[in-house]
Amino acid sequence: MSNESNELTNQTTTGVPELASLPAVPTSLFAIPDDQKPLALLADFGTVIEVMSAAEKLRDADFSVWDVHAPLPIHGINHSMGLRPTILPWITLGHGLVGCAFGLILVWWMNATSVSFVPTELQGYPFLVSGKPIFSLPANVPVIFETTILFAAIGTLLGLLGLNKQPMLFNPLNKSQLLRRATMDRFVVVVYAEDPKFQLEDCMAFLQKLAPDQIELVLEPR
Amino acid sequence: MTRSQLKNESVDAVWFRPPKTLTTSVLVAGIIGLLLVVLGYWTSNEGWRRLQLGYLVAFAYVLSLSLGSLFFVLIQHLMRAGWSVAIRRPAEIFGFNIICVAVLAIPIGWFVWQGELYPWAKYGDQVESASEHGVSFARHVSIDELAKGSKHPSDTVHGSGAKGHEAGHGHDLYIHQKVDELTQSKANWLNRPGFLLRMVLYFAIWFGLVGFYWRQSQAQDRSVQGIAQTLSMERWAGPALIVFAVTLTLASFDWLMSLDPHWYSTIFGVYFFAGCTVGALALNLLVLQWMGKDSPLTKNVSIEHRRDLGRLLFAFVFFWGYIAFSQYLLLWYANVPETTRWFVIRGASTATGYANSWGWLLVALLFGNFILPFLGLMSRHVKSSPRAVRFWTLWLLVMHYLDLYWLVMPELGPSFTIGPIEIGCWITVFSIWLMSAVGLATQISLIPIGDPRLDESLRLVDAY
Repeated sequence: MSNESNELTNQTTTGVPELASLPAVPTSLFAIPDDQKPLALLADFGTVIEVMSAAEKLRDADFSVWDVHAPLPIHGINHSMGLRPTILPWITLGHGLVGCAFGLILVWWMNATSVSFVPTELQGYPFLVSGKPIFSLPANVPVIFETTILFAAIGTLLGLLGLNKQPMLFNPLNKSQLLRRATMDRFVVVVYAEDPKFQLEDCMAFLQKLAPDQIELVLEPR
Repeated sequence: MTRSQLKNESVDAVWFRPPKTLTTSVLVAGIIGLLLVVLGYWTSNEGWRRLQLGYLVAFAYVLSLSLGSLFFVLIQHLMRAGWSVAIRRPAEIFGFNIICVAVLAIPIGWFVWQGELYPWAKYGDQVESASEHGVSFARHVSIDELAKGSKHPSDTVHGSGAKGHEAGHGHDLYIHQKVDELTQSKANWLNRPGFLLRMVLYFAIWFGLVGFYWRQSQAQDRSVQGIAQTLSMERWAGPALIVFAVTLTLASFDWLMSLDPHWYSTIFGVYFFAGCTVGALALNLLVLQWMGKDSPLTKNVSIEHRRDLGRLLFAFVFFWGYIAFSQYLLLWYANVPETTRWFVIRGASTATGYANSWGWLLVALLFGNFILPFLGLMSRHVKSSPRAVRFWTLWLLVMHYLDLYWLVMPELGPSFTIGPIEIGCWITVFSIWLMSAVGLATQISLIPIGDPRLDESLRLVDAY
């Protein structure tokens, strides 16, 4: 193992401590209580360059359920992680189109119709303004524009929350001390146990080859 | 990391050697355009008037491309943008090319000096009193008289209440082309010497702006660190933008809005500016796409730069539509005869007797310059595809011409006209402008190698 890892260490960016000098993984990590199971393995890096090269290796090793946590936006991390483009623009577009149609129907119903088969509160109220036609598109465009923007903005916000599985009130990862540092000064790679390629020992070995400063196993109740 | 460390020493200056095919094709296009003008002039009844108006459209077109490029340079410095450094040079070149536009402005000044092109420029004091045409203006009818039941004078002319007036109103619609009292009342601003003086002033100010940014940027290329020039360009970007906005607005009032001296629209300058920016961004994007194929720029300008420029273009396509609609909505709502007439002449009315065939051009602009490119440029994949970008930028450059055409040409009369004169003017003037830009481009490195942010720009990576 040491030969192989030395090779890899030589390839990684300068500034990473030699693997031999890293603290050995405590064997107690593998002593998982019976009522617990692994949730994720966390590897912790000190710089953007290191975490990006680690992400590239994870991507090339075909890991699929994993993530990178960083205290700052990293431009290009999507390429390093091999992320597919988000579908969020389509959600925005769909909501925008719905908002556009809603606005059009709204102004038409309220300004240009008057039917008796609905309650008075819901009836339209045709009102002649400065001799313009009852239903005239130029006057309605601002309303349609605003509902389009409103729906698109709300749709984007909800889509963003939904795609990120928010709000999530509790996440076992929150217990990790390492991940807390990811909101301050560390870059943390998280490989989840649900990943089909996840085998605790293999994955641990793989992460070690990436020369992180620390590795942590997070457990969750079985 | 200190600022001096940011400077990238490894990038060499990129010198533009225009391929022979480019120079010959521009030259041939210019000659073909000239032939078209001559051909159209001999075969058209209104040749001289059409030549003047067609030339004004072509002049406004190249002016807008230069001004839009200048705006791009200014806004990058104002925002201290790093991403755009590698693609700023083409915009600086097109902006500096306003010296060519100034030469092309000489015929406009000459037309005005001859008392032609603009209605207010006419010689002689044959002021046609409005009442001679059966028109008097609202200021002659007091509110008290109106209250007593006097007819509002504009009702008989342009108003929607003009019953049985369809046959004769065509004459009245173009009343602003005669020198009447209303036009005379604006003579303090709209007079020949004042117009020419302001023309010189605008170009002098623009020379100052483009010259400053050109010289600073060129000096930066030769400098060791280039920080002093960047700081100075950033410091002046704010005041420069204010001066730019004021001069552009007044110039568009002078050169385009005063074709109808009765008409006024305070948003008109913004409308022209929106067109300028769409045209200039489309041109810059097209040039980068074209250069990116087989030139030294390839390794420096990446798809990320082009995509970001495409995003700006997308935003300004929407901005144009927003402003165009804002102008229309306010004038439509107010329905003041003086101001709606401008739209009626340009085909915006569908009322019997008022509709004309310029309306088709208006619809073409609504879809061609706004809705279709808005939907077309929306997707990220479109902005990444060279073929799609080439298509949409060319499309928008043509549409921008039609936009200016729509502003100017309906003054000819109520039926849509386009012919060899106008197209010839456009091709010739654009070729001259392009030739001048190509000449300027050989004088300066296509990459601002002295800019301290060049390295940041070259490392541009998409954020998502």
